[in-house]
Amino acid sequence: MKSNPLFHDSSVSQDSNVQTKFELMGLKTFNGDRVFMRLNLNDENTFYEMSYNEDSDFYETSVWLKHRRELSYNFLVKRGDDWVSASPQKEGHAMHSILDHWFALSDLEFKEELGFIEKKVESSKTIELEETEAKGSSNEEEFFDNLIKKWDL
Amino acid sequence: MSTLSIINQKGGVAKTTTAINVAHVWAKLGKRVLLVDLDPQASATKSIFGDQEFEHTSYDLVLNKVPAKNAIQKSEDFGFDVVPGDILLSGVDIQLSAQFGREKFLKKALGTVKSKYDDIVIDCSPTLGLLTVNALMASKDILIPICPEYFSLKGIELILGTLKNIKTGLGHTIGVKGIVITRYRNRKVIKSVIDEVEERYGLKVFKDFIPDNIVVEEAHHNHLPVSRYAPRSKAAKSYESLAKELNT
Repeated sequence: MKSNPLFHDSSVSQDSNVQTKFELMGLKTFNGDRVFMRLNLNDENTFYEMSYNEDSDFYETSVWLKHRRELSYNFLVKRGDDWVSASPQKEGHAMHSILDHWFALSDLEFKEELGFIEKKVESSKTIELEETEAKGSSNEEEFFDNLIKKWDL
Repeated sequence: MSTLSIINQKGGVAKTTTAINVAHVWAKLGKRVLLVDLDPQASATKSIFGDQEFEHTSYDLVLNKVPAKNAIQKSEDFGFDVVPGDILLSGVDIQLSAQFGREKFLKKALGTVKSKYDDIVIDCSPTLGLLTVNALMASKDILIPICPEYFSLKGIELILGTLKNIKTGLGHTIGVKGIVITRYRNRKVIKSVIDEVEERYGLKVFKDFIPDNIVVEEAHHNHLPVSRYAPRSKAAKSYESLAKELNT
C-alpha cells in the first residue's frame, strides 16, 4: 500500500513501537452496543474494544505496534452476544493514528465476514475495555508500562 | 501564544498579502507579532523591506545555523518582527530529507523565541514539501485564502488531506480557522463558492471578503500595510475586520 514518505515520522525508527490510535467517525449505535476494531497482523486477529469519545464524537482505541508495520483492520458492532454489523477490511501502516469513517458492509458481505470471524474466533484474542483502562494503576506504573511497550523490552 | 500558517498550494491567492496585513492589524491591537517568511520567493520580505538583503534568514533558522533571535528583523512600518525569507529555502528539502526529526526543525527553532510573542504568522510556500510540513508542525492553526474566480474544491481537498497526513503520520493535530475569500470581484461567484465549501467540508468562510483592489498592489510597492497606505479602502477595512475576527 502506497504512502507519502513526506509524512513518515523520521524521529521514530522502524524498530521502535508507536502508539497507533484508531479513530472511527460516523458510527451511530444503540444503547448497550459495543464497538470493536479487529486488527489483522500476519494473519493473527485481535479484537480491541473501542471507547466513545464524546467531545470529538468518535470511537477510539490505541495499540502499540512496530512503526510502519503493515496491517489490516476493520470495525464491528456487537449487540449482546451477537455481531450485528461490520465495516470492510482496510489496509494500512502502523503510525500515530489511523482515521476512518464508518461504512457498513452489505448483508451478504456481512454474512461472509461473520463466517470468517466465527472460524477465527478460537485463535483470536479480545481486548475489552476493562483491560485497556488501567484503573487503579498509579501514574508511575502506567509510565513504565508505556515505556516497556514502546521499546519492546 | 499561537502560531498560524497561511497556506494554499495554489499560488496567486494573496497568501502573502493576507499574512502581512493580518499580522499588522494584530500588532496595531497591541500584540507582539512575529512573521516568518517561509517562501523561497520571499514575497513577504520584499513587500516589507524592499530589496534589502539580510545576513540571516529563515533558511538559517530552519537549518539551525544560527539562534532564532539572530535572524529576526524589526519592521517599524508594519509594527512586527520578521524572519526574512530567502531563495536558498528552495534547497531545504534536499538538505533536511535525511535528518532525524526533519519535520520539527522550525518548531524547535521558534521554541527559543516564542515566549517573546503573542502570535506567530507563517507565510508558507505554495509547494508541498518538507518546508511546508515544518510550518504545519510548528502551527496550531491554518488559514486558507482562496480566490473564487480560480476556485477549485480540489485545492481545499489537498490541504485537508495534508492535515490528515500530518495527524496520522506525524501525530500533530492542526485546526482550520477557516477560509478567507481574496481578490473577489463577482458576488454571485462568491455565494456559490461559500455554499459549496460549507456544505462539503463544514469549514468556516469568513464574512470579510478581500476585494481585488489596486490599493493592495500599491501598498506592496510602497512597502506599507494596506491599512496605513489606504486606510479608508475596502481592502483595509476587510483585513482589519478579518484580523479581529481571527483574534476571537
